[in-house]
Amino acid sequence: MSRLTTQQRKLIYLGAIVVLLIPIFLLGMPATTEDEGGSLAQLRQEYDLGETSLGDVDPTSATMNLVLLGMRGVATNFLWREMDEQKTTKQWAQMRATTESIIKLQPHYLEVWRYHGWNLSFNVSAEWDGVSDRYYWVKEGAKFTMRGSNRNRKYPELYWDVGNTLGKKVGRSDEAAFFRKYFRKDPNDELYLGGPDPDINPENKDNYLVAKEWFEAANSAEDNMRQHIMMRALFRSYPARSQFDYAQALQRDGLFDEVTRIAWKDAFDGWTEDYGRMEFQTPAGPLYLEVNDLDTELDAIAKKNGATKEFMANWLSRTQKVVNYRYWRTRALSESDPLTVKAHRELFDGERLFKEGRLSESEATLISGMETYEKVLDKYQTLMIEDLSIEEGIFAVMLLQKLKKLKGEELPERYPLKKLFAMHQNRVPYLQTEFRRRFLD
Amino acid sequence: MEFHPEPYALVPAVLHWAKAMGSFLLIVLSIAMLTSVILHGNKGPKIVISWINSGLRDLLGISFRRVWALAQLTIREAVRRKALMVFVVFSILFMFASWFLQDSTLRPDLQLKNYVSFVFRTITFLVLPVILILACWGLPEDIRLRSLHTVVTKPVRRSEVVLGRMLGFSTVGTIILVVMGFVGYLWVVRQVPTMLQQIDEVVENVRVQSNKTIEGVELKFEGDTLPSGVEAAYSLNNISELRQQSPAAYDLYEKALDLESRRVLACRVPVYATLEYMDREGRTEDEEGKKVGGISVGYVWEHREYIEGATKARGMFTFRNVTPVDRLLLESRFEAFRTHKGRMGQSVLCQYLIVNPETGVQVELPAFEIAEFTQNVVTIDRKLSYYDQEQSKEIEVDLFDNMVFDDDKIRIDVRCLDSGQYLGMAQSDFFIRQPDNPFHISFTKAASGIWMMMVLIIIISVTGSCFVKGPVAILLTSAMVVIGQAFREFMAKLVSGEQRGGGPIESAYRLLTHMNDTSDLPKTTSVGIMKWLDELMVKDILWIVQNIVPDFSHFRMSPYVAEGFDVPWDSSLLPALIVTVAYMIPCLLIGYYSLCLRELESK
Repeated sequence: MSRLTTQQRKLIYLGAIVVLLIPIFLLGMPATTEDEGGSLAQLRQEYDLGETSLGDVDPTSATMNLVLLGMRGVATNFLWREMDEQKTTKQWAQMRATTESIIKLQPHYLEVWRYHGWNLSFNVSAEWDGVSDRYYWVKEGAKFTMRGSNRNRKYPELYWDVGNTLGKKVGRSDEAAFFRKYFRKDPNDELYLGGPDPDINPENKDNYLVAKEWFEAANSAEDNMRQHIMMRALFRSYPARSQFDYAQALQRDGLFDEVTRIAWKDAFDGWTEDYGRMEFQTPAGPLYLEVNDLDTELDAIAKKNGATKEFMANWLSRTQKVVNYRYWRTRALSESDPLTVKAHRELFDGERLFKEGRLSESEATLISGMETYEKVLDKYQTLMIEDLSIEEGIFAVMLLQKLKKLKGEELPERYPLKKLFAMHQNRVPYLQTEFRRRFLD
Repeated sequence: MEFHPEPYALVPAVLHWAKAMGSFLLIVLSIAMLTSVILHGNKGPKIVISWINSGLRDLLGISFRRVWALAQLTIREAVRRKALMVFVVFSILFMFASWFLQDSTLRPDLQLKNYVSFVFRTITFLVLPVILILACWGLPEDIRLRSLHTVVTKPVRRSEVVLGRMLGFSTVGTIILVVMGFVGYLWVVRQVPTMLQQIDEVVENVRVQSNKTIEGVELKFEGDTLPSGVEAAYSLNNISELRQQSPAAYDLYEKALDLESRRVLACRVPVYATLEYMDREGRTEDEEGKKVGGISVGYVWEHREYIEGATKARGMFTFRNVTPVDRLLLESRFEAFRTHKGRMGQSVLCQYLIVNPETGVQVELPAFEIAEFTQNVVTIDRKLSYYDQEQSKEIEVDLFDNMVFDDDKIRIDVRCLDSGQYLGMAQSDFFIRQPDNPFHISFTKAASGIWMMMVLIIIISVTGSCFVKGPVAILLTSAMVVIGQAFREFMAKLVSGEQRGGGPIESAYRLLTHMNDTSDLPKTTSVGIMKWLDELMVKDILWIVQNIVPDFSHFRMSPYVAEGFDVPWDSSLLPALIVTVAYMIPCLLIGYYSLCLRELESK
């Protein structure tokens, strides 16, 4: 039995509380303008872990986390289960609301933002049949990840994810033709009055150009924090690749004018001057990819790194192959050449005229295009072994064959691009199928 | 949401209850007899019978005046204990809720679902814990403070004390619920986006204003602007007359109907059908004579079954008790499943066919593109026509005179027209839409679901507080609510053996040995004993628990409101009411006898 009175016991408890509070105060004292604060505040400062240094502060989220104390994990677990159940039973509105609740409790978990952003843009959108509905969910995912990047400014992954959604999902999915149109003119006319959704495209640009800006932001963030998505050389190439995508999309849309040529020119500059000059760490030491002089230039780099020239050349070649550096360099260079623009335009027009049933005009334009294309391939030899260039050339030959057949004529002994066609005979059966699909043969 | 349009099977439910209640009384009586014989020898059975007699007298002689007096006492007590402070939290939540819930880019119908869920969730989470704590704490606190002495010394029966408590807490809860429900309703209505409110106003406007009437068809024209709407009597003559006299007004009528059907704050009154399938070969039965079903496309949620497009596969919906009207409003929410891209930019095509199996007449309606996760509304006139191949001419039929079979049935088949694509459907996905009820009707019905749940919780809490102290009663009731709300399905799976991983001992064994639930257990004696114990716990004990704990899912009616449906009486309100009443009777008996046996002087 304690011999202390109740009052004495209470005083002892109070004293113990005060004593225990002293180290807590010392550890947790907040920083002020004059004082660095307690050890925890200093550590927070050192590792940039304060709410404000991570990104925008969401007062609701911070309050909820504070109020829940140690129950945050339980609540989060419950919400994740609920979200999953709602997804299974296709309660999309409720699922979206639950996602918001989850993110309020886990505002600085990178993978949580990435998972939900992807889920909305890729999984939920695919569940809808209407293309405009699908686009709506793609936007939802992109906007969600954008918010994530605002709240966590240091993570390069989130910027990259936004770029990836706006670039790849909008530009290359099955619905790309619609999505790209919607990106400039949102299907929700009542809300956006025939313009784009300003949350994702405030300046009414092409989706690949907006994606490029997000990839650039990802690269800026990557300067300070390592990303964990892919090899660094690949990750850093995305702004330039987005420019390639933009230029290619213009061509797919049938635009073979100065705008497209300039787009390729910008792509070439971005690839060789910006990306090509970035240094990447390799076992042979740091190197950049825009090395054209394999003697003196590479020698100088090898000397600087203290490696042999062969070792250096090996790593240069390996890194270049990973990002397909030489191909894209040549491709961009050739595409910014007026001769290539002319070849593409003529081949495209030849196909268009064929589909319109103007066979004689189509044949003339096609042959002219093939001749020009042959000159392009002579000028840029690397293109002779690149898939896209080969396909374009072989398709042109196949179209000529079809034209001749329709006219009841034989393919002449000599015709442009014959060398390319002969060189890649092994690809013809596969491309035949593709050709039939394209022309509903 | 997964709706269950099947009416509640009332007779089997009542019979099941009677059996359970009979068994329960028998067990209690046997235990009481046995205990009494042990304690009092030969006099034991007599004592038990006298208890039963006095109990019956007490219960039959209940004075509602005294019950109400005790209820008033309970209400005053609850107010004194600051139960109404819950309004402060409620008002704070509602003042700021729209800050966090509003999303101007979200589709209005989807947004409404969130608003409705929020309102009902908030009311449930605020009211139920407060009422639960109050009801569990009431009697034990009275006993502790000895204030119950002043009550029991008065000419008042114990049964009246129990009933008075239940009624008092229910009254307090009802007041709180009514106020919250009313505020919640106003809040939801105010949150609906302006555009849709305008639609409502347009339709509403038309109903009250008119300056020209064509036999029951009211129109309103304002200068050179489009007429703002129209209300037409559902009479074929009027509609035909309207179409002939004024095509523009007829278009307007169509538009008004469309607006009406797209109204977000809706309270649809559906008439559901029974669903059967026809497979791709056009068969309704397989080789073994079993009815064919739809196809599973591999979704985990097997709510919908799918039919293949551009084949003979159909979903056959048979509606009963269809009363003749001039126009039939059909609404569906089918789902598409694509196996190839198909025509991009165009949804899967669906077509209705009205079929009379007796005469073989089949009327094809125009195909339409389905819009998923929202309503597809199609109206069909009473006068229909189809092209007869044999006679090579268009033949007119009357929907109700020629297409009804077996006196009151109409069959509407649904087929998918796109090759390689599938159309998913469930029984609740297709219905005849009767004239809508006002939104406040479904809202009130859903609120009554919370009310019944609250009453049930009060009944359990008060009963618990009759034989255990406050904190234990809180634990007991909370456990029942949590299990009845969240774990009933899990429990049912465990009892039926559907749940992988076995019972508690097997699960623990698998956890400790890191063995997944698909691996077979070793065939040893200890495993046999473990399985036997699990079986005993799961099959017998858990079965009893499963049948004692109420199924709180019956009270969840808010999804109907969120989806824009009226809360049906026979498949939602009735089961909730039955469950509440079913628990009230045994709880009253338990509470009464517990209070009779309880030493009220003890602290």
